[in-house]
Amino acid sequence: MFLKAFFNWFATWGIIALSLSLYYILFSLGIVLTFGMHKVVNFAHGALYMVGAYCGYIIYCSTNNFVLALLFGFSGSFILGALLERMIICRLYNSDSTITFLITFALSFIIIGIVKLVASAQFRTIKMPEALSKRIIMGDIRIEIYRLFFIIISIMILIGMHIFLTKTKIGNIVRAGTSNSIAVEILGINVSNFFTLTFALGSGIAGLCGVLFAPLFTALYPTMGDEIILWGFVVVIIGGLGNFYGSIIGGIILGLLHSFGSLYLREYVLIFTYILVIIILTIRPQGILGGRE
Amino acid sequence: MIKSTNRFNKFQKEDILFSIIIFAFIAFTFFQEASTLSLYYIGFISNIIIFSILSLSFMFLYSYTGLLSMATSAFYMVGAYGGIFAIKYLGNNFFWGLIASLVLTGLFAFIVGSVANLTRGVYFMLITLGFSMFPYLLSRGPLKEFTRGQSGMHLRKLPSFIFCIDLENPYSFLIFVITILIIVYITFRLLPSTHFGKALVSIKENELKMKSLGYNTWRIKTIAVIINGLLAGLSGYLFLLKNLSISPVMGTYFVAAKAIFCSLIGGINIVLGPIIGTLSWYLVEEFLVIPGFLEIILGSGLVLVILFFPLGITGTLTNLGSTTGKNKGRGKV
Amino acid sequence: MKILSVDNLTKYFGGFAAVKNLTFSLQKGQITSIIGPNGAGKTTAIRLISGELNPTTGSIRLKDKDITNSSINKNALLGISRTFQVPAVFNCLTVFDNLKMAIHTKIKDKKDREDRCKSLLDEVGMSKEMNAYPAALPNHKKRILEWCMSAIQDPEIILMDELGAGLSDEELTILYDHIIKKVDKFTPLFIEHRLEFVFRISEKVIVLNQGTKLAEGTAKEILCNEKVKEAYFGNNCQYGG
Repeated sequence: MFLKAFFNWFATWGIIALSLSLYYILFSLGIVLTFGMHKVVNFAHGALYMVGAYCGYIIYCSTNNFVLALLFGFSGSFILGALLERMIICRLYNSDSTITFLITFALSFIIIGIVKLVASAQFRTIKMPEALSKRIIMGDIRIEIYRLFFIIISIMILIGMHIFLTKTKIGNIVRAGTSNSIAVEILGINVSNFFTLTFALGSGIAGLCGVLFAPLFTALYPTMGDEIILWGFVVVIIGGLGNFYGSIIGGIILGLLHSFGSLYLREYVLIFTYILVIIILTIRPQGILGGRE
Repeated sequence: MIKSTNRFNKFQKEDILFSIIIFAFIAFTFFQEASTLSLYYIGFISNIIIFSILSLSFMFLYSYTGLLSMATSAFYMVGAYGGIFAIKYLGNNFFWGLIASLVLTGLFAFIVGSVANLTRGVYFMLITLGFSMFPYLLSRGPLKEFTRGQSGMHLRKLPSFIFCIDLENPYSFLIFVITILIIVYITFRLLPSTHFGKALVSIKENELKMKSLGYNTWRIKTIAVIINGLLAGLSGYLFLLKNLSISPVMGTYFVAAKAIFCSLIGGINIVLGPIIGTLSWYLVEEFLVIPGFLEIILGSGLVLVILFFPLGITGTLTNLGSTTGKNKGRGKV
Repeated sequence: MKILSVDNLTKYFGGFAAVKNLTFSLQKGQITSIIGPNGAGKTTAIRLISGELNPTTGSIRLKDKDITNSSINKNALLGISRTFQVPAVFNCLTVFDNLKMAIHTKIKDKKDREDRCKSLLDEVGMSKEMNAYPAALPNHKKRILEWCMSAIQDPEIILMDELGAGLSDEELTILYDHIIKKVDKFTPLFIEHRLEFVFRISEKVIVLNQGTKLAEGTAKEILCNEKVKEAYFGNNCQYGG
């Protein structure tokens, strides 16, 4: 009897926790790759996420086609990411990390300003597409179909990333680059294109994530990236600052903490999260799996 | 702020400029008819001065140690909330508020500094960012019944007189904060010639060597963080006295970012820098009403400054007149 | 009198042993040098003694005090001073301020500090450059300044890591003369590659190779040591005793 109740509760909340974890993991991908390869603390990532969400919103409003919205969300952030990388970010590689933090922060500021100017600060929403807005109700278990959809898509993306990183030639170079970028350059490959590609990829996935998660979340607004960027860094720190697989663990931990924790007092959970982050940064900056110093 | 570690060179160009600015503030305030508009601008100038003190607190730590303290806004918030609690519960007295504000901020800064100085560079920055969340989260969560959460706290009545300064009178309040700014300015102008100031910049240049000479660099850097905290807390307390109403928004990292922007755009090489930077920010914000423009201009300004003008507005201008290499290599970002 | 004793000092970095079972001691007032090919572990040994690194196993004693895991600044206050391969002086301070920074941790009286700094600068002939910045000084004067910063602290031992790097023979001779003059007050430990100097002034020479001690003895003994010749000198015994 208790077991059944627990199982029901776990199924309902487990899905929520899993979707939240995957959301954090997808978002943090870009941060992990950029830090791993170049020791660049990319604070503009939240703004890129936001831009993707807005691109998706615009398309969704005009065409009502969700798939198209997802594509445009990805592409918008991908292109903007590539541009930023080419013009500014590439100058920051191997710079003092406080400088990169300040410049990327300023960049996010500029991007937010432009969006505010163009789209105004009013809250907007992306409604869930009709087909996916049903719920499954089995006894006491309530599962939103959209969340399942999100989970499936996210896992597919992550598996895709894993295959890309381990099986393809480009992916292996990227993976090598996240632990030792100098060695990669010595190989004589034209690295700057790879750097642009990885950065754009990370940005694109964040933008896609923005559109994907928007129906579940709250509204779209120009500063929506500001809170999530903090969580992105928390995820990456817990898992190890350059470590892709570590950020998966970090995302899972954070997703669990936040979803089950919000059943109780949210602020306590957040405080606990930050205490954990501080302890990790002080005692074991390589995070759980160990990353780049 | 570390133009010369030698003697206190009386009246550099920057001091003249500072004096001019102070004089301009005072002249602007007093030589016009009292009206609602002039009262508004007096308040405006007071806000600029109060935030300049916050920017200076950040700039001190960054230019003397290279440490980026994202907790500056948290100290600012603790200063304000500490003050308001003391005034509400210990007595409507300026000094109770000041003591509580500084003691609480100092303690918090000690904790943050002690832990964060176990690391350096980006880790230091991230740890201070983590700590900076605590006042914000505590006031909205566990301590909510004391702090009224997001809606903030308000003072109905200011402690109206300290010595013979009437705090409720906007003119005398302005003179009061200007006096504090002048004291802070002079202290920072004198700092490079003190042993503490020299020790800080030496640690920044070569920490291992300083340790090899016998210095406990962790302790010295923590003291610097405490100074950052105390000054930021003072700024927060002044904000409370000026606006009577505070909220957890004071402790978010945007406030820290704003202080950072103002300091860097204004110039990290001289004490006047953060003041000019803050002035620029407030002027831009005041006269550019189109939404989004503020962020675009200031964000671009910061990028330009970091990439092309590392000394900021003031640094670049003062360097134009300098023929010797005196300032070069000193203002490295 | 033994002033420093190092016992079975070992330091592993991951699986790599930078220093292995190193044992030697320094006698007060005796000039000792550590030599050896690159990567032999000389600088690591210095870093262990000064406290920058903690050994994996082994112990270090200063006179009778165990300083194995002591920190750099505590060791400095106990009397271990160190110079670096790249002259470590503070470019943001004047020459005089550099010395004052060094003496500040040892002498409390302000007037006393200034007097000592001034007289030391006089001794080494740098009084004219008192208010200059190190960036304006030639390389050998930076070295002298760095050495002054160590000397003014009245240390027990000074660990000098490739003091001669970048100096001409004359400049190095001048510097060594200053050092020798003070040898009764503090004990020097040199790491050097300039072998003619090593053998001219050292009373004891220790040879390291791949983290372990290959040989120890007087200059003459080391010169003719077969193992050392093989590992380090090659077969030219050209440095006269």
